[in-house]
Amino acid sequence: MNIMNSAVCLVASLLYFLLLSFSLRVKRRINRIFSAYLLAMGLWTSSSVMWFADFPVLGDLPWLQAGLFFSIIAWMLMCLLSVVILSLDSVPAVRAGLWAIYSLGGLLLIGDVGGQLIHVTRIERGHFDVQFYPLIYPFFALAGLSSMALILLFARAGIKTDDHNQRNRLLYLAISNVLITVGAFANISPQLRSFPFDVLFDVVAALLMVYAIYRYQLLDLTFVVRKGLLYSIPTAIIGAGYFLIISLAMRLFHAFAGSQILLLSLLVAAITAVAVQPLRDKVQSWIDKVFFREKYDSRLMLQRLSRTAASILDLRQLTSMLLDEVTNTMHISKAGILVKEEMGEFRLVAQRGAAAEGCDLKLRRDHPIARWLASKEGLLTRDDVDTMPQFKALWGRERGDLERLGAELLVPLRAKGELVGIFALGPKLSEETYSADDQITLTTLANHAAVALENARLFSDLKQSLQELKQTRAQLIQADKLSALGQMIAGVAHEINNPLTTIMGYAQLLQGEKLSDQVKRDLERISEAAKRSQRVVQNLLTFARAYEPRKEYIDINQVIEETLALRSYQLKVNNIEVVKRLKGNLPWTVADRYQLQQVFLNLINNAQQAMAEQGGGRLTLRSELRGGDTIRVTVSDTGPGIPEEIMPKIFDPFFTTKEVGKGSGLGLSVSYGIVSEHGGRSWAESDEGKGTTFIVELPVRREVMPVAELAVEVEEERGPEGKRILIIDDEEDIVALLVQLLREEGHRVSAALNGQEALRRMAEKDYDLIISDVKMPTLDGRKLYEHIKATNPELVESIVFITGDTASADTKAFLKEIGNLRLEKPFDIEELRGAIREALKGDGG
Amino acid sequence: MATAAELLRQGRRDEVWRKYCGFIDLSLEEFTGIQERLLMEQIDLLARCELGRKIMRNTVPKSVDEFREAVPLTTYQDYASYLDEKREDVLPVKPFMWAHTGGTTGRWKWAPLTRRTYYLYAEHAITMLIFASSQGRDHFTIANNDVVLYVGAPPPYMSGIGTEAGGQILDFRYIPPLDKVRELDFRERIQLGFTMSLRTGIDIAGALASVMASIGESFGERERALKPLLHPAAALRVIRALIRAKRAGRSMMPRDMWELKALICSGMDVAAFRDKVKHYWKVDPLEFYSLTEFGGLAATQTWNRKGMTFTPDVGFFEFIPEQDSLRSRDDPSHEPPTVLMDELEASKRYEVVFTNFHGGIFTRYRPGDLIKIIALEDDETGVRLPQMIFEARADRIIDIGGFSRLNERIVWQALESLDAPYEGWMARKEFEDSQPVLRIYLATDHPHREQLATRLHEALKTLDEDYADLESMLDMKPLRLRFLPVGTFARYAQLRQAEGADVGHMKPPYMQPSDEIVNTVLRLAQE
Repeated sequence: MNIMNSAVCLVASLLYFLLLSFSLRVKRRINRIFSAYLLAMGLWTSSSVMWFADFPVLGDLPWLQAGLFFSIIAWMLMCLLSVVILSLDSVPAVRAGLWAIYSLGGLLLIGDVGGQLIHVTRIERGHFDVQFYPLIYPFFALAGLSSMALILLFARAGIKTDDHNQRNRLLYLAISNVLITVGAFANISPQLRSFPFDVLFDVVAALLMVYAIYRYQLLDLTFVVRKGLLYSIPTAIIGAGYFLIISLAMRLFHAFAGSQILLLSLLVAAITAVAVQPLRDKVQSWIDKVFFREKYDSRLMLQRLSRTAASILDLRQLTSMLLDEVTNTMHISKAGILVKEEMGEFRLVAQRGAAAEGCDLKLRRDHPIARWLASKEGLLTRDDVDTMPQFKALWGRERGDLERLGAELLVPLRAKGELVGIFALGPKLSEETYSADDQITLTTLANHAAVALENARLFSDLKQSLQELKQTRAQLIQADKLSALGQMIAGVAHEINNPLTTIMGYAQLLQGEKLSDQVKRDLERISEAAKRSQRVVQNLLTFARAYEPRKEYIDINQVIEETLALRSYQLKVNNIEVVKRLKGNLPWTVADRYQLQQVFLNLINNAQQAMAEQGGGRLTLRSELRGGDTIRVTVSDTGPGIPEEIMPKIFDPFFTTKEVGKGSGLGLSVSYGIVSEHGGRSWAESDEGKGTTFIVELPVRREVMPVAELAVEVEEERGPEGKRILIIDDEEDIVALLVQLLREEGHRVSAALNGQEALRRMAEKDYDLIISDVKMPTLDGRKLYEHIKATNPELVESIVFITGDTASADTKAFLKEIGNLRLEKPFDIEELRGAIREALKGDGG
Repeated sequence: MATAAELLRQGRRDEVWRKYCGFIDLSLEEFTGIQERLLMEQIDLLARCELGRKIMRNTVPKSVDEFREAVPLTTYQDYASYLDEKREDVLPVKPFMWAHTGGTTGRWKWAPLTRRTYYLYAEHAITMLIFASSQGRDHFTIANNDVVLYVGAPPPYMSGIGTEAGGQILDFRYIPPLDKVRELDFRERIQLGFTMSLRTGIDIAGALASVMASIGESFGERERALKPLLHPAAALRVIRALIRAKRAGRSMMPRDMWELKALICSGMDVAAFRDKVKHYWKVDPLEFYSLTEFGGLAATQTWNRKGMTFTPDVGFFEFIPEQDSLRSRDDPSHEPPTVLMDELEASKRYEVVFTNFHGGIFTRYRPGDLIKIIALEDDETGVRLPQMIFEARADRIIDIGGFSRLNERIVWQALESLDAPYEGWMARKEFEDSQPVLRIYLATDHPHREQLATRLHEALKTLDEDYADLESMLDMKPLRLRFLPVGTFARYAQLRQAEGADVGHMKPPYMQPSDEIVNTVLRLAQE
């Protein structure tokens, strides 16, 4: 009985059955074949235990035959397993080869059972002598050939693949086959046959296969070699030193007896024990420096970052440093860092690499990648994103964003168990994929960086909150000031609108009379001046938010592009470079396209004028989505900037720094009014001497007005003649004007200066049309409307309101509610005619 | 993004499986999560285009519930005026190509395919092939350089588009080559394909199940036609097949000549012809559910060839319970409610409603297909998603006395079980003395007609319990078998060809043909 050999086989056998229990857990074809292989190997080594132990049951030969039987089955299964792993099972030639192996294997199994392979086995003084029949030699030959073929196939496939993990796996399998082959051939030598070398080699091979098949991503071949060198070099150095010291001591003093050598050995061992750790560290450093430079650099990088990262509180500086360190050390072409924002979205805050340049992307809170990284352990490769079904939920534009980012690896940055950021790494310059070693380094780095990043983010948030607080305070003051101003403007506008209507109307009426050319020219001038005044009043009313925006579903980027196109020539001739950083696929929103165009036009004009004075500059327009529901547009120039002392006044109406006649001072105040009307906000930031940035934030709105309200159909119709019309207005000039105008049109016109008088007239006579002011003494337009509605509902549709009081919220609400036709003062004759035509449509006119 | 061809070249089979078939491992929650997310993208795209806004009644829903509440169910009629004119300006995304289907009335239905949908369809083609060739999870045999014999309709039919698109992901060798296919008619394609396959072999085949069965049946005649072949590879293949047939003691079959890895069959006749196809070709055909309007694969069988599993990324699925579906057909003003994937119940029938993803246009669209949920999970394959079978097009179900609802699949199966040769058939509901009857027009020269009618009645009773109840409970025998001479359907096809009809309209519809079609067929039968 050979205890040592039996023990080796017993350990091997137990190991095989242990591995088998793990293998059976996964129900894949590869696993099933591998499980069968492990079972065969387990039975083989179990037979060897019985054989080496000289167990007094059945004798030696049956155990040896049983061992051979299972080893032949294991060989066949190994061939099948290799073919399946290499995906060659559908290749006809390989399938034919497999069938040849099965056939020969079957013959050998029959031969073995019939006792035609092994005929003598003897144990003498711990040595075994096994005699083979000639039939077994073809088995050895074929097994050798098949093993060599498999080694070559695995090696070739490993070199061919560009996936690091797959290469690792295949090379492991190649090495496993080398070990199995070497172990098997040890049996040819009668001297080696007596020891279970094949068992030892096969156990190591099986362990490697387990790693290769199940856990290959955790064990990098480079890592194994590196560790091997790390332990073998110090061992060699220590061994050599030990040998040298003992030899020298014996040679020099000749007198060492056994106990003295023991003492000397203990001394050397003590010195070694003290020296071994520093020596190992030194050796590791040296090995990494010489053979694994990248690893060495990575370690230095980690040391540097762990020293400095925590002390940096500026988010931009920290992310910049992280990116520089990683891209330089690991030779990566592109990289970016996304940081979690308040709303749970991940925003790209820093990037490196041409493809990511200008890439302003954000991952939504429900982005599949963010959710996966937040809920699972580990990192994601590009292949994972491409192949895992969970990522089928990615939107088209999200896939586009990832493409632009060029991320090959997405490393989670976790602080206190929460995902606070994502490190996106592009491909390596060497075009190699990231090894397991790289991934470990990056995960370590991410752990360091996450805490620092979270600190910096909190600090940045705090700074921003303070800034926003200041800004909000300033805006509140401004809003309060402008609100008071708006109310005053609205009142003044109302007072101005009435006389303007009279002036415009009479001027137009008189132009139709037979007058001298000089008088007509003068009337023309009066009319033009009145129209200019009308535009000023309209702008003032816009500022005072007197007009309802005309809402439609629009693309803000498109509005910016269109506005830019309007100014492109002027910008070019003024030597202004235009930089557009418009976020692709910005959500559409409901807004008034023309009003927003007016806002952007004002901002672009201001910027252009500011830069033109210094001979040119750069205009940057940027659009982005913030917090998922706000679109931010910034217009930046490189002009002289706005002095701090006038910043609080820039949105005030009529405030201008331009020369007299070059600007009305209404542009920014009107823009402010429009943006506020849209539920947004606007403000400016300026750095004197460097430039100014105007920021406009608009909410993303998705509700759309009904189609009927969007559609405007203009029909040209002949004016209805000979209708009975009642005019009601407390402004006598306007009444007189309208009476004269409508009589000239051929209508029968009556007039009233207030609502009560109008009711009296209506009681006396029927009217086809009523034109009424809204704000009047005694009985105003609203009460008049309600009275008519109650007494003569058919007439309600035939009321046209004229008003100069569009700034009043009450008036606006009333007119909106009833939906009747309305004319805003001042109006011209054509507008009036159009309204009358429209109102009389249903009246057979 | 590595394609299946590259991954297979590198031996990364696990990733191939995960990429193309991994969706079957999704949980129901993950599946609905993907659906909901892609629906929100689609709503955003629809809101940006004229037709989308019109279909969504000018609203932009912010959730799935809002979407189901605000957007009405649609049919092709809602899109016809735009799609028939290929109005690209009204669509969410500019189409990459246009596909069309035959339509039940012979009118083409056009469907725009976006670039993303097209590539998704290509991926789905590979999904089907992997499942068709698999014996279990991860175990599939399709590979680069496989030879594909396709005997279906060419592009712009969806099956033709899918066949071509699949070639962009795996390196296939098509016989006949795809550029030649468009120039040939159906018979020429089959002829040339099989001639070429004698030399090249066939790894993958795609066709109607009835076509594959028919090829198998007529293989003895084909065998004689093949004998003069001189090419050594072809001769060798024929000799080998002859030996195999002799050893099996029967006439030669396709299985002796070719060893198919995968066979993909479309059409409602798969269930009826499955056994025959397996017998002749030694491969179990894979059944799938797709429609031109889907723009991709909606559901597919896996390796166990039982229920079909829905795909998560082609469109958003809703389901109308059968009773509501029927009610809405009787009363068009009834807007039927829908249920979602996680509300389905096993053993119940539903009408499918779907919304395209990826910039397609069909929104809450009713293609009129009735499916049956056979189980909510499949323990055999480990799939934790509802399993369905295709029942019929809702408008092609023959309802007898409100008791029995016969579909095309059942009639196919009943006819096939007779084991009697026939040229063609069509079935519809007619009335005799105000009593509904099931009239089947069958072109056969079988001598024992009465016996055939009795056997068919018995077969229908076996296949459909409700049909059996008609006799046992109401004492009704609704089957009326009208025999037509063999050659009638061939003459119909010639007539349609002469009229310039497309390949999809050569045969009359199997179920519920119109009076006009029935009259034409009867006229031809008398000629």
